[in-house]
Amino acid sequence: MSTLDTNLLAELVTTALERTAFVMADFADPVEDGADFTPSHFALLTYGGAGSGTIFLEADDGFVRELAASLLGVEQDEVDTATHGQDALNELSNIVGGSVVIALGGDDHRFLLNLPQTASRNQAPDSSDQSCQCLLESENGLLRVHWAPGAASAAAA
Amino acid sequence: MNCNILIVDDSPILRTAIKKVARVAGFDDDHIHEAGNGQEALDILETVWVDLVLLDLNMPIMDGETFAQEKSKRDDIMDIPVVIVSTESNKERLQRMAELGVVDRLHKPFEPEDLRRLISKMLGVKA
Repeated sequence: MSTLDTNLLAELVTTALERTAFVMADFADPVEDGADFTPSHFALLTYGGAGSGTIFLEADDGFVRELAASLLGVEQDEVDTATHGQDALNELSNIVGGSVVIALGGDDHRFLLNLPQTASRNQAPDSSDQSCQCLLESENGLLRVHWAPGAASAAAA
Repeated sequence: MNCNILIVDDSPILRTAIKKVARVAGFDDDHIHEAGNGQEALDILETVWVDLVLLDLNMPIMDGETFAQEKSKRDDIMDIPVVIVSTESNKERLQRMAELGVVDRLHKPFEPEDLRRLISKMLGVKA
């Protein structure tokens, strides 16, 4: 497989959330829920090697609070979203990235992951025919995940 | 449990999550050590005897592979078992890690129970 679609990307993300943090998420309505989505935290992960690509996550306060609280084993109101929440989102981008390269290249893939980075809204990859994104809803918030092939190579060129 | 465990991961929140599992596996906080990169881990190994290292690979300052290379050069710590806990699945890199003496691997995403079982297995504790 050399590409991803929205369904597979969503499956990789929901599996990462469930296995790592016991956070359940499902598809949100991109029109209805997307209109209310006000992301406040952003994370970026690129990979290179046999090919390159970008995974970009954007999440609202409710989502990162829920994710961080679950990872830390604390109540949601004890979470500092600026530190714990952002760290949790960065780590999620790392885990999703690890799953994406296996989905793209199988067990013998030759991709190499770079370190996850705290990002800003304007670092979201441009949409193309090959890219995809999914909007997911957890109990307390929304998460949008973008995948775009080749963006890292393009940026480095 | 009197064994010491060293968690090496650049994500503070993931270290906390792993620490939580280590507690469930029987470790008290005095026996759980943390490092944010390979260099910090080597510094800790200078002063604390550790029975098991849980090692992330992709980290700033000193990554897990460099840590394993440095550790393998030192007679006093080369035999400490290392388990990779990482998103890494590149076979060439994992092969290099195996050659450096890494004994097992847990791929992220993992369930806490997978980690608890692995820790118990590595330290010979009944699960």
